[in-house]
Amino acid sequence: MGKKYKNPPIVEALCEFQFVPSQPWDITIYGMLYEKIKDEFPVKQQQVGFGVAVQPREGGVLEPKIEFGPPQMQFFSNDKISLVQVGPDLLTVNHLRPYPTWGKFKPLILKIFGEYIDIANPKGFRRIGLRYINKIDFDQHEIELMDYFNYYPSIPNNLPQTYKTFQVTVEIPYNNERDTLRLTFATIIPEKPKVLPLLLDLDYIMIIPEGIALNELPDWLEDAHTAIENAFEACIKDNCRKLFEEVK
Amino acid sequence: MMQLLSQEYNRSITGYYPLYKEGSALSTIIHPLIDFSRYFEDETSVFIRKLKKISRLERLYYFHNPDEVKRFLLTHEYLIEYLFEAYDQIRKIFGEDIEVHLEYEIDLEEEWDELFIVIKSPYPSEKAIELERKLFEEWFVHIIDKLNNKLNFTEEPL
Repeated sequence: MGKKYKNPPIVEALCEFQFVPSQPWDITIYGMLYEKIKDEFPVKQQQVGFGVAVQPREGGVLEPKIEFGPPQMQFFSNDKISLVQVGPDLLTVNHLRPYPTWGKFKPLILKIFGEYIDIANPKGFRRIGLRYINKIDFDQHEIELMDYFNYYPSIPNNLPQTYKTFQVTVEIPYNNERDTLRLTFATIIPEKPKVLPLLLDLDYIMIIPEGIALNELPDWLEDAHTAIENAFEACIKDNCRKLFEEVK
Repeated sequence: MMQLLSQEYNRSITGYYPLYKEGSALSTIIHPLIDFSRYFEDETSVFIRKLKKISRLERLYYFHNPDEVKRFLLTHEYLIEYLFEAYDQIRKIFGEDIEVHLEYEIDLEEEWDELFIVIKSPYPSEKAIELERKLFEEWFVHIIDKLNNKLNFTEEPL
């Protein structure tokens, strides 16, 4: 991001909108939106929300119980690399690896957003999030984090400095706290043995409901993208750039 | 000097977003951390949702060999929804006084591997066999074609 990489670590980019509705949710919105976007996103799939709640039983035993959330519709491209998700007052545009560049992703977001507001006519934004999820795989048993990253956990000197798992998250306010950049760096499940995967998740969020008007979205997206690019480059060192094969 | 080791059993997936606790050592926070306790059904990232679902499964099932089970689920993602369904079906038929385990089995010579749901129940063998058969007829037979021989179940005494 910002700089060009031959092997970029982005596994998913997404833009999520939560809306302040102008009227109660109308289930025909799913079908109307699908009609508009089906040439690009023809594959339909219902996403059933599961949650695990803990409920008490006799004797004070706590027992997990599955709970179901409201369904969402997912509309995939034929190659299943990009998708649109729709739920009550919720719209998400996702792009999985390979990421197509911001020059292509931003117009896609704006196009789907335009179709949605024509149909659903929301009053405004409750929340907007532009998010880039990066997975960096190391084919090594151990690494020195500070050789690759500028952002990592700080362990007090009197504790062992070798560790197996971690997760650090900070939220950095932007634009007088209207927006926040949630920056998460963590270990995740390895897909293969002896691989050390790290997750760098950059989520730029407008947290103040109706903090911008609907027509201000293009500028907000640009600012969000710039903040994410800068944060990404700030978090990594040249050793990472070598792994991603920077194109100069 | 700080080092990070690769791991056989990576727990970080569990609770990818932990609940923020007051009095945390994060000294630079000037705004409360928000939204950390979102259920994964609110998760709109396809990549993170998959990880969170595996984490939720770990609250329902006891993972015998957690590294292998998690890796298998990552590469056979379609099994995840069936495992949620299975948990409900098993409790409906076997009742609540059971434990459900997940075990990854592999035979390298036969080039075969599969995930097993192991239902540990307190019932005598005749009753357990009857319930096992009922589970097969009421649930498993309807989904068996979709599992590609990658998920099965068995019953064992508790």
